[in-house]
Amino acid sequence: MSLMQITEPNKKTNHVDDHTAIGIDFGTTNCVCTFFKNGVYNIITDEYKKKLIPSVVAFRGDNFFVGNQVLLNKDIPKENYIFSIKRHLTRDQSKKIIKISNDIILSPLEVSSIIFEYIKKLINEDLKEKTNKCVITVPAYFDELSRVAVKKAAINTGFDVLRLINEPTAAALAYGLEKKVKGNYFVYDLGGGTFDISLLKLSDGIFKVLRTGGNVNLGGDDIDLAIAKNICKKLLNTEFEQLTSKQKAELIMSSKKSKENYNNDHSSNLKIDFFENVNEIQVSNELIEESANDIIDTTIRISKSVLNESELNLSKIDGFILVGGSTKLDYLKKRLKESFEVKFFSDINPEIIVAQGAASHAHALLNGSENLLLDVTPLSLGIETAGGLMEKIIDRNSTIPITKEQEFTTFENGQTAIKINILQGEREICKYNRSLGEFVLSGIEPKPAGIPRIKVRFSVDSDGILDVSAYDENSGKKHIIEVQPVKQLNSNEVIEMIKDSVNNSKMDLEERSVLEAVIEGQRCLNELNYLNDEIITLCSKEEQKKIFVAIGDLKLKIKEKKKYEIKKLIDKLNLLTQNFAQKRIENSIGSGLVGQDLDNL
Amino acid sequence: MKKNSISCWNCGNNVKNFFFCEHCKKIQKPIEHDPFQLFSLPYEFNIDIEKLEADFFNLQHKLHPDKFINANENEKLFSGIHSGNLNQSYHLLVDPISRAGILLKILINYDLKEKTVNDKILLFEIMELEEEKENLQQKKDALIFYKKIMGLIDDEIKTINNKFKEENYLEAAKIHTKLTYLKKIKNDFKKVEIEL
Repeated sequence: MSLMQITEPNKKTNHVDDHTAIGIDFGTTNCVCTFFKNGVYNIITDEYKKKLIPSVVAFRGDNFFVGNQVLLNKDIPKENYIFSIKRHLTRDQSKKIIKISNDIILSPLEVSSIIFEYIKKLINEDLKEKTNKCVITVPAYFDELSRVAVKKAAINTGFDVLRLINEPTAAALAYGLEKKVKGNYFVYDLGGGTFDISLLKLSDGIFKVLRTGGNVNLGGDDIDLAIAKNICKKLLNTEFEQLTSKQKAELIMSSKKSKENYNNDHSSNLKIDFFENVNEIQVSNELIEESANDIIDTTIRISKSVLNESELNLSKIDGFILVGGSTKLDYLKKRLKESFEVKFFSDINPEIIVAQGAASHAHALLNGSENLLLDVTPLSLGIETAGGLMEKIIDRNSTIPITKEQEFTTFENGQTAIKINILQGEREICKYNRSLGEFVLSGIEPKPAGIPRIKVRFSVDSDGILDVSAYDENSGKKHIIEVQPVKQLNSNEVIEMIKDSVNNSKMDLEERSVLEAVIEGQRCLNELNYLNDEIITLCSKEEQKKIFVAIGDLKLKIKEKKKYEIKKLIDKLNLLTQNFAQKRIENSIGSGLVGQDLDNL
Repeated sequence: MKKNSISCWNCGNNVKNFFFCEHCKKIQKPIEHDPFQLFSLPYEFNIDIEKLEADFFNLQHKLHPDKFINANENEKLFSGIHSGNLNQSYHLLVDPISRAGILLKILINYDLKEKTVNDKILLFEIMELEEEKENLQQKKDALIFYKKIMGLIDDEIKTINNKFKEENYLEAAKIHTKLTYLKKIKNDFKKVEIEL
């Protein structure tokens, strides 16, 4: 093929003048920043020479502190810590919900910006070279609004975000490049607050994501919490919920420590000086295992369903790459190995591999590269159609970028405007999916129902961010809208979305078929209503009577939502009006001829 | 893919290549195409999947937005559209059922979406399968049923391939309708059966 020989216009052959761009892993628990220069990866360290920058912010007076400034400062009370802000980004990004003092209330987006600001300062000090270009990683399962929020938080602090890439994809990139592996690999990424599982095909410089799944509200933090609850129940004989918020915070920190010690001892002694009459407790390995089981089981279920949907057998999987701080737990590895009998890889530090992948991609973007990264969109995108059904336009696991168009039409005669509600999720019924935003396409020429052709175009770019536009084919009217994080999110909805979708798809299908019958019936009624006068002129009295009785029945059955009866009545009406339709065609040819000059015929 | 001479937006020379100008090497504005044209494939059902994949990767290597980070806004826009077209076309061609659908649309302007299915024998067959699916009780039976559907799909794909070879497109269209139903049963079944 001749076009194959044309060299890519932007590829540089000269790598001497490397431009530097930073890979940022903006994690729930820790942030890691890495850059690739002169063939080596460098990790940015903070003023304490630490590579992991805790994603913690705290205020004292008007001053804010970030990362180790907070954790190493004993003067800041623990209850003032703002932890795991990334979890809130999936929910109420722009909502002022974090109360710092009586005067200061911040949104999760603003708190994220504070962390980015700090990171930027560290980068400038460490690099001694001005760059604001970066690649930021996000959980693969992050939805549209969360992606926009992360990008916004970074841009607000002056970063030039070259690309958002998915965390497991970044890990696979780092792994594939360093170990030169080929084949089908699972990337199992369990961080502090999110879980992602991606299945990738790796071949000569190509990283193609086949499928992805996950849960944006599941992570090591949940294991810590489960341990804390079990400690309360089994060792302290109390309810976790009854502790003060200070005790809760202390106990969760201690639980985290006991989890980290799991790998070394059979049981660990835990000092707790915040609980009356108890100084030290012994946390057994069994307690930790028991606490972790639920979370591990969930991740295994999600992984298996991703495998199942991929139509690949376990025998076609070459390995499992473990990523994320929470995969350091030996018990988790043991459980995974029991469930998936394949090779496991965790020989690149799971806490820094994601940032390393981001750094290498950042370098590739700026300086050209032989590698190609093809990612997918995690959740289906579509719009609401008549009757509250979701019409999917882009299916989940579609390779991005992708643009798809779908034609829609009006439902009522003479309708001049259509409200378009953009949805993300897997369920058939709209209200169970999440609405990303609404817009109105107005100025449609009034026509009988079903005649106008409204094209809705969905484009998901390489950052996984959606752009929607719609236009009326007849009038050429075009509306372009950008989906913004304005609507509040409920992250619990996201988490449960696919799970629900599977559990409920049977119910949805039933509900959908009823709704479809109702819509079909309504459309039939609209048409007949539109033709009412003609029916009276063209049909015999007897025909008219039969038709109008059937119309009455149909109205009733639509009200009762009896789908089989509705279908039967539509068929019956089709049959009853056959004669009428024939007459109408003859008539319209006739009336078309009336008054026409013979020469024009 | 070749196109009738259109001038390059950048240098004004006539361009024959679909993606890049032969003169100034700039990426070109995307024009209307079908998936077969995009990959320079003849209108045949039987295609070399491995070669398709290699061509797909090869083209993405040159056209993906990641390769245009330093380019101007025009080029970025074109790259995004080309890359998206490649993704969509590739996935439509890889799946034999969607491939058959596109081919029928191109060859005989047949579009299943615009048709009502009147084939009583087919509808009866599908209804029976649906019923069988509804009545599945045990995991073991479900597995057997799934294998049966997969077997039916494989058989029909072989048949449709022959019909395309014989240029018997109307018959191919009938089989395509059946395949579409079978695929739907398979997908519905998967959705319900996957244990999360």
